[in-house]
Amino acid sequence: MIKGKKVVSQSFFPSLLLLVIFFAIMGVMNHGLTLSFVKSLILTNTPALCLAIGVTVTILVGGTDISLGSIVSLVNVVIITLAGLGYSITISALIGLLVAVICGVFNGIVIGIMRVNPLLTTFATSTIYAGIALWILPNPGGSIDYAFAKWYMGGLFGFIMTPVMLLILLVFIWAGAIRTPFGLKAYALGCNEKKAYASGINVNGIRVLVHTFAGLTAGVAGICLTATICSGSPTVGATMSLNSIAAAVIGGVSLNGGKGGIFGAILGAGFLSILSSIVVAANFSSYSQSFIKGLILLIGVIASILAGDKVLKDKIKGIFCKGGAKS
Amino acid sequence: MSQAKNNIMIETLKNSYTPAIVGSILLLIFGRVLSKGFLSINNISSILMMTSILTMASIAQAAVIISGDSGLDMSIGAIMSMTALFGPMIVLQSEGASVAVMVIAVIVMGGMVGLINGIGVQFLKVVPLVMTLIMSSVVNGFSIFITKGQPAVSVNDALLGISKQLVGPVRILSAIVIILLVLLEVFFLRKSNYGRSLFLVGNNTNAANLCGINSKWVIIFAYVFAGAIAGLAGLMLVGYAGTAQMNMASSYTMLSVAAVVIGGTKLTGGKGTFIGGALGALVLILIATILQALNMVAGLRSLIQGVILIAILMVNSRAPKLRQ
Amino acid sequence: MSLEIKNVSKHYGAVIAIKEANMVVNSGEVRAILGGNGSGKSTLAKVISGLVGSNSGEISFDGVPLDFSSPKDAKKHQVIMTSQELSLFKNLTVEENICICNLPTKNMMTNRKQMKERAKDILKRMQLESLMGKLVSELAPNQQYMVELAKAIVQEPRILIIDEITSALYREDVEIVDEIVSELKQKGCIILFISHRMAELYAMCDSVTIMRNGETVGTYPIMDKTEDEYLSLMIGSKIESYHGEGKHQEKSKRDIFMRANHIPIPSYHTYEMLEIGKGEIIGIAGLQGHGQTDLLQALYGGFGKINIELDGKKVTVKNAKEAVSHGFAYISGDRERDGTFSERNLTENLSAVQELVKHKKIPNAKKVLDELHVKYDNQNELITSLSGGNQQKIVVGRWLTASPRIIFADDPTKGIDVNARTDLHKEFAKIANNGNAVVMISSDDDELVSITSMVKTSKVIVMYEGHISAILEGNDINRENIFAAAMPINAIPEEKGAREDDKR
Repeated sequence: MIKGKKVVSQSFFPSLLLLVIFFAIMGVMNHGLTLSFVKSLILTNTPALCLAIGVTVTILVGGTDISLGSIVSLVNVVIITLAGLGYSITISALIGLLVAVICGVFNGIVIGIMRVNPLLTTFATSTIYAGIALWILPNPGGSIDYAFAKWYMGGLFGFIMTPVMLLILLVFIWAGAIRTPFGLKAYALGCNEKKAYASGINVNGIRVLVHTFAGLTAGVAGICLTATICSGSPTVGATMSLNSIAAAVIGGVSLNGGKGGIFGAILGAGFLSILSSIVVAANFSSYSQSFIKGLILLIGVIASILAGDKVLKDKIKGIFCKGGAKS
Repeated sequence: MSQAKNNIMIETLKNSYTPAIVGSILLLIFGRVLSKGFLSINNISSILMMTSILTMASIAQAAVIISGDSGLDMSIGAIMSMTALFGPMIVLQSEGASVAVMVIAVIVMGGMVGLINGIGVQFLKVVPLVMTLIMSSVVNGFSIFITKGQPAVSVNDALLGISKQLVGPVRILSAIVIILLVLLEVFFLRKSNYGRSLFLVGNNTNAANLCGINSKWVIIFAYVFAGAIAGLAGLMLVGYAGTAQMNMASSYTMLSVAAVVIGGTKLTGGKGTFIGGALGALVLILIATILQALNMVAGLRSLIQGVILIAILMVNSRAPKLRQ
Repeated sequence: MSLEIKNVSKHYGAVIAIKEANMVVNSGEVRAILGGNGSGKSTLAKVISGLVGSNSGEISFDGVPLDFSSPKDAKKHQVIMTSQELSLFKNLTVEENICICNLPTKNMMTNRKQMKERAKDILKRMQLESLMGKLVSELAPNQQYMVELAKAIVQEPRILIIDEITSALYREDVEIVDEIVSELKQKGCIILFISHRMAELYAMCDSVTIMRNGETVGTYPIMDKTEDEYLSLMIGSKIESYHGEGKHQEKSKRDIFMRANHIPIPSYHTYEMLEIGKGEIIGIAGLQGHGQTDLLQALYGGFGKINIELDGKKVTVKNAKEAVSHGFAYISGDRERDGTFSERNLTENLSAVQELVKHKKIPNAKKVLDELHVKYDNQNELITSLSGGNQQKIVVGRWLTASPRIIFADDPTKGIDVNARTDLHKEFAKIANNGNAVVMISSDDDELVSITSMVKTSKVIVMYEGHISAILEGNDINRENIFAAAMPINAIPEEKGAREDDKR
C-alpha cells in the first residue's frame, strides 16, 4: 500500500500511466502483442529514447539542448561516409561516437565556461552540426554493410537485443554518476545556480560534463539510427530534438531544472513511440496523421503537467480523503 | 565639454542597438568588397524585402520574450507557414478586396493560435518553450491535413504586387513593414497602457499583480499579438516568394529569436524593443546574402552562419559572471 | 591567531561598496558588525568568504594572506559564510543540504549512511532531529535558517560569518544558536555576526565593529555603549530612539470604516474577523508565519472572493484589481519579489498603479519623489541604482499617488535604514490622519509601538497560530504585552505535540 503510494507520488507517474494505457490500446488494436512486434518497436525507437535521456540530464541542471538531433544527423553521415571510404564498421561507428562526444563537449564549453544561454547556444551549434552534415553529404544516399544491421538486431543472449543493452549502458552510466557527489551537486545546480556557486560547487565543470554526456547519448542514438536505416541522410535527426524535450516534459522533468529523472524521460519517449505507431496503425489518412499526433502530444503534455500540479493534486487528494472518511 | 563628449560616447557604447548597427555596417562593407553588385539597387531591395519579413517575425517574437516568465514563441514559423498556405486561398471577385480579406483572415488565424498558446501557458501552466513547440507541430499537422499535402495555391497578382511595385525608392512590402515597425514601437510598445503593462508584467509578474494589473491576460495577449503578427508575416512571405510550400517558414522561428537577441533584448523579459529586432534581422539576412554571394554550398553556408551566430552570442548575451 | 583586514575596498562599477575597511578579530572572538543598509557589511562578508573579489587591500589569517578565488577555495581554508539568501536547495532533503559542501564518499559513491549520521549529529545538537529526511521546501522559514546554520557548522569553520540569519528565528532557536556560538568560540573559531537585533548582539558578541557608507567607523567592546549610542554611530548623527510607549491616545470611539467577518487564514485553516476604523493605524504583531501575511493577503483578494463591509456597504473583493478599485493598497517588505520592477526606471515604477490600473495621469512625478525625500539623479535611471530604502519609498509612492483609502503593509520597512523608516512612518501617519487607514505587519514590536503612537486611533493585533490572540489599545500597547500575546505560555510544547500528531 505504502509502496503503491510512493509510485503514485513520483514525478514520472503520469508518464507511466500514459505508457501503460497506450500500450494496452495498441494491444487491443493489434489483437494481442507479439514479441516480434515489441522487438521492432524497440529497434526503431531506441534513438528517440537515447536522446530523451540526453536532453533530460541537460534540463536537470537548468539548461536544455536542442542540438542533439543535429548531432544524430552528423553521426549518421560520418559513419556512412567513413564506411563508404572503406573503413571497418567498428571504426566508423567509434569515430561517429567520438564526433558526437566532441560536439557535446563544445556545447558544454560554450554554455558552461562562456556562460551563453543554453537554448540559444544549442540552436547555433545545431546549425553548425547540421551544416557540417550537409557539407559532408549534400544528398541522402550511401550505404553500409548489412552486418551492421545484423549486429544491431541480433541478441547477445538469445533474447536481449543490442539496443536494449546500449540503453541499459547509458542508464548505468548516468545512474552511477548521480550516486557520486556529482549527482547531488547537479540537482543542486538545477535548483539554483548562485546558491550552488556559493556552496562551493564547480558549476562550470558540471555543465560541461552534463553536455558531454548528452553528446554521448546522441552518438549512441546516431549509431542505432544508422543501423536501422543503413543509409545516410544529412537531415535524419532534424525533428528528433523537439520530440525529446516533449518526452522529458511528459516524463515529469521540470524545465526549470532540479526535478525529475531519466526514468521518466524514457517512459515519456516510450509513450511517444507507441503513440506514433498507434496513429500509423489506426489507418487514419496519411494527411491527418501528424495533426492527430500533435493533438495527442498536446493533451499528453498538458495532462502530465496538470498531474504534477501540487495544488490540483491536493484537491484530488482532498476528495479522496473525504470519500474515505465517509465510507 | 570633453566630459559631455565622453558621456555621449559611453551612452552610445552602452546602447543595446550598437552591436547590431556596427555589425550591419561591417557586413555591408564586406559585401561591397566581395562583389561590386552587392550595393546595387536590386540587391539592396531584395535584402530589405527579406529583412522586412524577418522583422515581422522578430516583432512577434519580441512581444512574447518581453512578456517574461521564460516566454518564447516557437510556433512563429508554423503560423507563418500556415497563413502562407491558407491566405492566398481566399479568392473574391476583386483582387484588391480579396487581399484585404486575406489580411484580416491571416491576422485572425494567427491570433487564434496565439490565444491557444497563451491559454496553455497561463492557465494550463505548460512551459512556453514546450507549449509553443507542440502547437507548432499541431499547426503544421493541421496545414497538411487541410491541404492534403499538396499546396497547389496560385498567388493573386495584387498580393504578388507587394514585392514588385515601388513606393518611392522601396518596394511596397518594405515600406509597409518600416511604417508598421515604427508605429508599433512607439504607439503600441512604449506609449500605450498595454505596452507599458507588458514591460512591468515581464519584469516582475508578482509585483504587477499586486498593483492590480491582470498579468494573465497581459501575457496571453502578448501571445495573441505574436500570432497575429506572424500570420501577417506569413502572408507577406507568400506574396514575396510567389508560391506556397509546406513548412516554408519553419526556419523563421529560431531566426526570429536570434534576431531579437542580437537586437539587444534579454531573454529574461521586461526589457526590449521591436526596432532592435529589426536591426538583428538585418544582420542575419546580410550574413545569409553574403554567404550566398560567395557561392558556397548549402552545408558550408549553414556552418558559417552557425559559427557567426555563436560568436555574436558570446559577445552579446553571456550571463553575468558568478563572481563579481 | 587573528583575522586581519587591511584597507580592503570593493566597488561595483561606479558604486563604492566598501572603502578601505580595517578590522582585526582575534581567535575565539565573536564580533558583531553593525551598520545601516548599504553600509557595506554584507559585501565585506562576501569578500572574506570568497564570493566576490576585492579591488584592493589585504586579508590575512594567522599572518598568512587569504585571497580566495571562489567560495570553494574559501571552504578549503574553512572560511564559511552562511546567509539567508545563499544557501539551501529546496529540491534536496535536509541532510543532503547540510552535507552538500563536503559529501562523504565510499568508493567514489556518495556515502549516504555517513551523510545521514553527520547530519543527525549536528541536528541533535540543535534539537532538530525531527527534520531528518524532509525536503527543505517543506520546512518553516525559521527551520530553514537553522538548517542553514547546521550546514555551516558541519564544515567545521575556523572563520564563520553569520549574515542576518537570526532575524527570523524564534526565541528558543536563538538560545540554541547562542549555545552553538559559545561552543565554537571555545574551539577558537572566529565568528563575525551580522544582525539588526541588538538584544542578541549584546547577548552573544564580545565586540562590535560599526560600518557606515562602506567604511569601518570604529570597534568597541560591546558593553561599552548603549543601543542608542550605537545607532547614532551607524547613522552618523544623533537621533532619538523611536520608542512610543506611554504616548498612546486613550481608547477612543472609532467610526467603522471597514469590517470583514470571515477572513480565511489558509496556513492554519482558520478564520478571523477584523474591524478597521477611520483614521486608524492597526499594527499586526506576532511571531513570523503565524498568519499575519495571510490576513492581509485575504483582505486584498489574494485567496479568492471575500465579502467585506466598506463604509457600511457590502462589497466583494475577488482579486488585486478589484481591491485597487476599492482604494486598497498593498505594500510588501519583500521588494525584489513583490515591489520593484528592476529593469524599469523610476517614473515607470512610480506610475504603475495610477496610470496603468486607474488610468489617470500623474501630473508631477518629480514632486512626488521630492516629497518622499527620495535621493536620485534623474527620473530615467533604473530603480535598482537606488539604495534599498529609496527603492521602497518609490514602491510606497506608487500607492500614495493613487490616494489609497486603506493601506495593507506587510513589514514594509524590512531591511531599510532608520531614516527611510522614519520617513515612511510619517507618510503612513499622514494617510491615517486624513481619514484613511493603515494596517501594518511588522516583525519589530518596537516599530509597531512607535507607529501606533503617532495617530489618534490605533490598536495592535497580535496573532498566534492563525488566530488573533490579543487586541491591545491605548496604554496597553507595549513590548511586554505584545510579546506575551505572541507566545502564550504553555502554548509552544502543545504546538509541537500537535505537529507531530499531524505527521502520523
